[in-house]
Amino acid sequence: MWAVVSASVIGTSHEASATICQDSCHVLRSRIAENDVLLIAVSDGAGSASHSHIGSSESVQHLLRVVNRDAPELSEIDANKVKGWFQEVLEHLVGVADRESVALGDLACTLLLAAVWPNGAAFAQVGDGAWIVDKGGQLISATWPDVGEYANVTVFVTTKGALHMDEEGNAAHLQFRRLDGPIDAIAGISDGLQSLVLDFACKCPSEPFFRKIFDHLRAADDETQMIAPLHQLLASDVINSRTDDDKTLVVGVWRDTAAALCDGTPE
Amino acid sequence: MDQTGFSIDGSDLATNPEHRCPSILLLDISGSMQGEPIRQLQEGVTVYRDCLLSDNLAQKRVEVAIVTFGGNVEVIQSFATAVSFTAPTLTARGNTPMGEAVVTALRLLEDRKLQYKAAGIQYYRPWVFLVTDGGPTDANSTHWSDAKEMITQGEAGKRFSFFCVGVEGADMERLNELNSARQALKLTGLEFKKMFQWLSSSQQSVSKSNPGDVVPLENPTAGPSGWATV
Repeated sequence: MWAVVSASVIGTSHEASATICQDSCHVLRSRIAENDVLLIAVSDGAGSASHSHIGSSESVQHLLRVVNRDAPELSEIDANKVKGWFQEVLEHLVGVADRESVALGDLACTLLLAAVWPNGAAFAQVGDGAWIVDKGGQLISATWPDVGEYANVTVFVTTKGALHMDEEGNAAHLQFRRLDGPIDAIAGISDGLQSLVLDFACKCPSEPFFRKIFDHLRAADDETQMIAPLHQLLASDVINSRTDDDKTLVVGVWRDTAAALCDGTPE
Repeated sequence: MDQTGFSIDGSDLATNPEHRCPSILLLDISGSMQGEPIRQLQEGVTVYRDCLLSDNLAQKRVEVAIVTFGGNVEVIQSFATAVSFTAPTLTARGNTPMGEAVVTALRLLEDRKLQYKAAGIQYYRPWVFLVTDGGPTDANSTHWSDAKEMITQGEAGKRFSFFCVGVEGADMERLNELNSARQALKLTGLEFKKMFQWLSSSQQSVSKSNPGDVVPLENPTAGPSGWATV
């Protein structure tokens, strides 16, 4: 089964200006078409949007609610299906904006989704951040930050045209990727971490970082003991000396409990 | 205890090049700038470099190029961070080929963006800062119409922010014709120092910003640090 921990920690620049952390993360263990499916959503609220902390938390909750309710055959999870889910989140945000008496743009946030089942996975994203997986010992970036032309510009779920897809199914900003075969470990990051753990020249994840993070979680007997250390890591000087933005890291590793139980002694 | 945490060190992190904020100074050094104006302008450029140097991020991220126009057009400084450029000696001479200078500067900028992209370097929206005390002497050439067209396209496509600053005697109407998207600013007296402090501090804010941040610029025409009128 999956051992998963996540943390969202406020950036030093937001701490200085006494705002709150605008990142959100939500994890749900779902049962879809007779498969155990791990669902994870990550969202980063825009620094310039006044209520983006509400936008990000509403988005991650609603997205997983919708996926869990929809529970499609796993083979049916494609770009179109995901677009429909993101569209529902957008509609939900319109209602939230109404409830909070703010403009939709005040809830601006990115949105990342991962669905992992025993023999495959699907990833989707609008905006910055990324999904990184360990698949048979190989680190793969399943999605990549949609950075726009400029370093301080990205696309949000609430951005006009963010979910647009042409007739041939090519999306301008909604990334979608399916991977076949079992996933051994998964990590999701928000943009606060992306220039620290992704190499933009080779467009690849930082191997030592993700390998260590995955190994540390694998080595833990009980993942709940790893929540505080994850917070400590994200609030550490090593990280904060390189980013002043909010940052989220969610890490999951697959544990073959059945095998462990039968065998008793790990090799 | 070591086994129960997430411990990483700096060397586990990716080493991406710093984000860059390209900035072009487009300086009129034509004959009419002779004397106090060119002396003050030169001092202003030194202040600009020193201000950038005093900021940890700006000194690594803001890259300055200088194009002068006076008699001819010259790239006297190709893109460099504050550490690696020395404020040049400016000598006033000749006429004012402003259109040609704009075209040269904007081509330089597009080349730089291509280099950034090839190297996987992220960058901020570039700044172009034109300073003049006169009007173009090439307004009847294709350079001038090309310059206007490039600025119109560039501002509309958010490819850069183009500021025109007129010193006493400048043809403000021409400057507003050159960039119809952004009103030209009239420098108060010879406040080049304040102008460059503003430019540096605006670029410091931008070069710190994260995705989704909006960076409000201070109004250059108001308050004690104001240096211009419109």
